[in-house]
Amino acid sequence: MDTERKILTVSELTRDIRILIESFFGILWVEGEVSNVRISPSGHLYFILKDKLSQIRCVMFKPQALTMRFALKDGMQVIVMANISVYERDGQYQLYIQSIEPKGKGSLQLAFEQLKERLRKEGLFDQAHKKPIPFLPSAIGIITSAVGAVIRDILHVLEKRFDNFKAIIYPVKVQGEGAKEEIAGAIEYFNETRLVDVIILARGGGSIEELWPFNEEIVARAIFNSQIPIISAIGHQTDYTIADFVSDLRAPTPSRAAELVIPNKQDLILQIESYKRQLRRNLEVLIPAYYQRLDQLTEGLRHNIKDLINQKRRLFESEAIKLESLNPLRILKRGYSVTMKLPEQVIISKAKQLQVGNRLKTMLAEGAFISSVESIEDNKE
Amino acid sequence: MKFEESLKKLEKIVSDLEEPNIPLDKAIKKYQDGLELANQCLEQLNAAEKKVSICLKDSKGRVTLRSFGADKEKQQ
Repeated sequence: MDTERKILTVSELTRDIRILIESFFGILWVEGEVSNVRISPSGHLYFILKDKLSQIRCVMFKPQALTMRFALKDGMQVIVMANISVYERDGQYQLYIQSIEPKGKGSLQLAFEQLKERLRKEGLFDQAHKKPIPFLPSAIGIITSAVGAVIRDILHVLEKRFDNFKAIIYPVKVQGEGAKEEIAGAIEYFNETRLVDVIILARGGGSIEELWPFNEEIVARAIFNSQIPIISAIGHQTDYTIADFVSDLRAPTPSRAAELVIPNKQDLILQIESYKRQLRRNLEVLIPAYYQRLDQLTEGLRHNIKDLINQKRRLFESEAIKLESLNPLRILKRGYSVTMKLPEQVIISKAKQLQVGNRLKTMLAEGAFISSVESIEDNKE
Repeated sequence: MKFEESLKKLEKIVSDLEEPNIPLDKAIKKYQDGLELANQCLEQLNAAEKKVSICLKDSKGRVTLRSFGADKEKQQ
C-alpha cells in the first residue's frame, strides 16, 4: 500500500509549490493599497498589498529599495512589478518587488511632492530666509552647463545691460549621474571663495527626469545654506523645481535671471544725469526766491527807517515847541529888558556890579539904547 | 560707499533741495554734495572692466580660474 503512495516531505512539497507558482506566473504587475510598511534593519522593505477582499505579503530587497525615488507610505495606491514565489521556511507565498509606481502619477512627481512638502514644513522655502539680491553686483557667479544656449543667453543679456560686468562661470553637469553633487559643490565653491556676491543657477528646458537634479535634497540644502543670494532659472517658465522654491529669487528663464541680476547701465546713467539736472534746477528755483525775499526784507527795512525818521521828527518838533516857549525874546515882548555893562557886555542882574559913570546897553523887545549910571541904589532901599 | 547707498543719498538730496524754506548756504552745500555723489556714481558704473572667467577642475578636484572671453576669442 505504502509503495503506491507517494509520500513527500514538507520541504519537497513546498519546493514543488514554489516551482509551480514561479513558472506559472512569471513577471507580474499588481495593483493595490499599501499597508504595514516596515523597513528591516538590513534595509529590506516589507509591506502588505491589499484590496477590499484579499491581501498579499510583499518584500523589496535593499538594492531595489534604494532605487525608489519616493517614500512608500501606508494607504498609497500603487502598481508593483514583481515576481511571485514562496518563502519556503514559512511556506508563505509573497511578491518579490522589482519596482513600485504610485498609481495615477509618476514616481518622480510623487517624490517631488513628498520632498517639497517635507522641506516646506522644515521652513526651507520661508520668505524670512530669502536674501536680498544686490542692486549692483561686483561679480556674478553662474552655475550651469558650459555648453548650450543657456550660458550664451545669460552672457548676451549681461553684456547688453552692463557692458563692463564681471562674471565667473562654474560649469556643471545639469542632468544625469553626478549632476546633483556637482551643482551642490559649485554653490559651496562660491561660498568658500567669496569671489561673487550673487549666483545664477540655471538650466534650459527639459523633461522632469532631465530637470531632476534640481529636485534633489542635496541641491536644495546647498541653496538654503548659501550665504550668497541665489537666483534660480530652471527649465521653462512653467517648470517649478525644488531649487526654485528654496532659491532667493526665481526667474522664469535664464535670460530673465540675467536681467534680474544686474541693472541696465544706460538707464542708471540717464537717471543720474536727470538727478544732476534736477539739482541744478532746484537751486536755480531757490535763488530767485531768495532775491525776492531779499527785496521784501529791504522794502521792510526802508519802511522801518521811514517810520523811525518820522518818529524822530515828531519828537524834535515837540521839543522845538518847548524850546520856543523859553525864547528870551518872548519875555522882552512882555515889557522886560536886558541890561549889559559896556564895554564887556556882561548882563547885569545886581546893582553891586555897577559904579557911577558905567556905560550900559539896554536891549528891548524892539531895539536898544545906551545910557550911563547916575547913582546906585542898594536893594535894601 | 556702495553704489546703491550713493544713489539713495543722491535721491534724498534732490528731494531735500525741493524744500522751499531751505537756507541758501545749506542749499548750496547740498547742491555741491549732490553733484559730487552723482559724479561718483557715474564713475563707479564705469570703474570695473568686463571680465568673464570660468572655473576649471583638475584631476585632484582643485579649481582654477581661466579667462572665458579670451578662450573664446582664441577658438574663433
